[in-house]
Amino acid sequence: MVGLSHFLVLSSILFCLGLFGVFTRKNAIMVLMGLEMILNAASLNFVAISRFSEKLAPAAGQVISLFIIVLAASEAAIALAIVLNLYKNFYNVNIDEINTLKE
Amino acid sequence: MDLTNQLSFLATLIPEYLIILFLLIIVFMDFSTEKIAEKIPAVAMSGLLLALLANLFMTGTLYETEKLLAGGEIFVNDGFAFLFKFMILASSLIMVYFFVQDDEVNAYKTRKGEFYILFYSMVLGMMLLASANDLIAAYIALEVLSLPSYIAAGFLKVDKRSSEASLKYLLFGAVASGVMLFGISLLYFSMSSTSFQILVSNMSHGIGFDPVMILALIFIIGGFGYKISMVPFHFWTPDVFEGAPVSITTFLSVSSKIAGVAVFVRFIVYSFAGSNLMNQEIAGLGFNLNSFLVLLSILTMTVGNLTAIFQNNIKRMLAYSSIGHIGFIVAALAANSEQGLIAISSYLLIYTLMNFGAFLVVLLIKFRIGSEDIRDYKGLGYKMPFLSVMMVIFLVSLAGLPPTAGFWAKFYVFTALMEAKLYLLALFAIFNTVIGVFYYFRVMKVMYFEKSETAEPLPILTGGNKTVLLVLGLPLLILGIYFTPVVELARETLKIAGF
Repeated sequence: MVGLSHFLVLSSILFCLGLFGVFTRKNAIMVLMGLEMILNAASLNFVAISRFSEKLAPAAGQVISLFIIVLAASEAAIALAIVLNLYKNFYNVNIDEINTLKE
Repeated sequence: MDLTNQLSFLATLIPEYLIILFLLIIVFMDFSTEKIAEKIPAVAMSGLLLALLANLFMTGTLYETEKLLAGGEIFVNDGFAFLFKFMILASSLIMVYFFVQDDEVNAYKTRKGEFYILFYSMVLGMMLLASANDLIAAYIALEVLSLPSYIAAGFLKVDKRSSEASLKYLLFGAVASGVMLFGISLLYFSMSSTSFQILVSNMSHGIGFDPVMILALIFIIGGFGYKISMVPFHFWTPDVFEGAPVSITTFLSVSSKIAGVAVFVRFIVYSFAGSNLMNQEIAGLGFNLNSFLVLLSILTMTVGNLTAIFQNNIKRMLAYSSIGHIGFIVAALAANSEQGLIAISSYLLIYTLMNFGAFLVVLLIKFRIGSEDIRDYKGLGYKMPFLSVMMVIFLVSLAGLPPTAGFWAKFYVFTALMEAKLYLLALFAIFNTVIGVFYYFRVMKVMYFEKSETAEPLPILTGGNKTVLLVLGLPLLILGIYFTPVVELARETLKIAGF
């Protein structure tokens, strides 16, 4: 029987993988992919908690996850546009090599 | 909430409706002919002015809608929100003047409409943030504010520094808000709600802090902390402030911080300060939330002020100095008293004036000598006497010395700290004020006591520039002598909020 704890464990794994990707990857696109995993982990959490909890209003978590999906999509669009513009300026999307600002 | 109550609440959102309406008008103006598009700044200004007036007229009705606070509402419009929206709208109004002056931004003639659309979405996000009373609402408002900020920081598309600032802001901001969202989902798991008040109502039944909740709180405080650039979530601030166009830097350092502080204070006050949770020991770890805030505050002001000493780029220096100021605001929040909240509101009012002034001077100097480096400010005291005198007023006020209002802003923070018996924090605050004096006076020293090699005359200021500088600078001197109105305003608005 699949219960709430299974979903929570899965979302925690997703979150940790996403965070790991954000901190170790040097390619801006890969960092953004890690970011998507973090957002999806949160989204999964909301849906699962709302499905298994009796205390909550029905479908509250699902509505929240719809908001998250919309925001994640707009964030991805903006992020890719910024990375594209960065590539036009530096011919590179490696975060470590982009340091014209001090430090 | 019954229907009449709901309608009266919706009526208090008129400033937000006006912002949305003018946002759409600007979109359509941008689509039409060039002649109409030329008038966008004027329309943007009048829209903000209307929203500001609507916000002022709304105050009267706030006394009657007090009962709206009762339930777990998503948005609240109380005196606290009113005061912060007033600051946000007034500062945005001055911002339009900055945008008109900023030649870097104006070089992109065809993208003027785009720029003001971004600006208006940021204003909308800030206003929603000031009245958000639910973690999901706060998250969405935070994103409405952040997404246009990322683009605005990289508005100078062909400029390498600007696009790098944009990328750094995007990566830090998106990760911080993503982690915060995960924290919210954890809190949703342990508390079954996302309302700010939920912690108080659940904890008063005697449920202690559990590990999941502590993790969730750290994630959420991290998300808010990134927005107000609190150490250790501040790494984006100096790079973004240096790379972005000056006017956008100003907007991010003043208005965006005000909105961030508004939501952070509301979260801490509504979730914890209402009960004795601030002083309740966390899961036998030997410290409470209050000492956590004290720690963050000490870190923030010390790191901000110490690093500011070594900066040669003035925008970067002001970025670190704004981190230091946030440290003072968090200190006042840690005092956990009405006195502390009054100190926060009055500090932010003064912070707006002095930081705006300093950045306007930086902007005007940049387009006259073409540099943001402090070492290039040699001899400016004699070349541009009026501008330099105003800069001295702003810097003395930022340092927090007596003849200016900056002194009283800091004084009220100290009073709140002494009343709350946080002597160690007060000691650190005094220590940091001394460091602040050092690096602010360095700028003045360069302007007045170092001779410049060239003596060519600089383009003089227009009447409009002088007027705006005086509008920002004179209140600092007048309030420095008579500070009571600011404190009274802060006290009165907090009374409506029922904190």
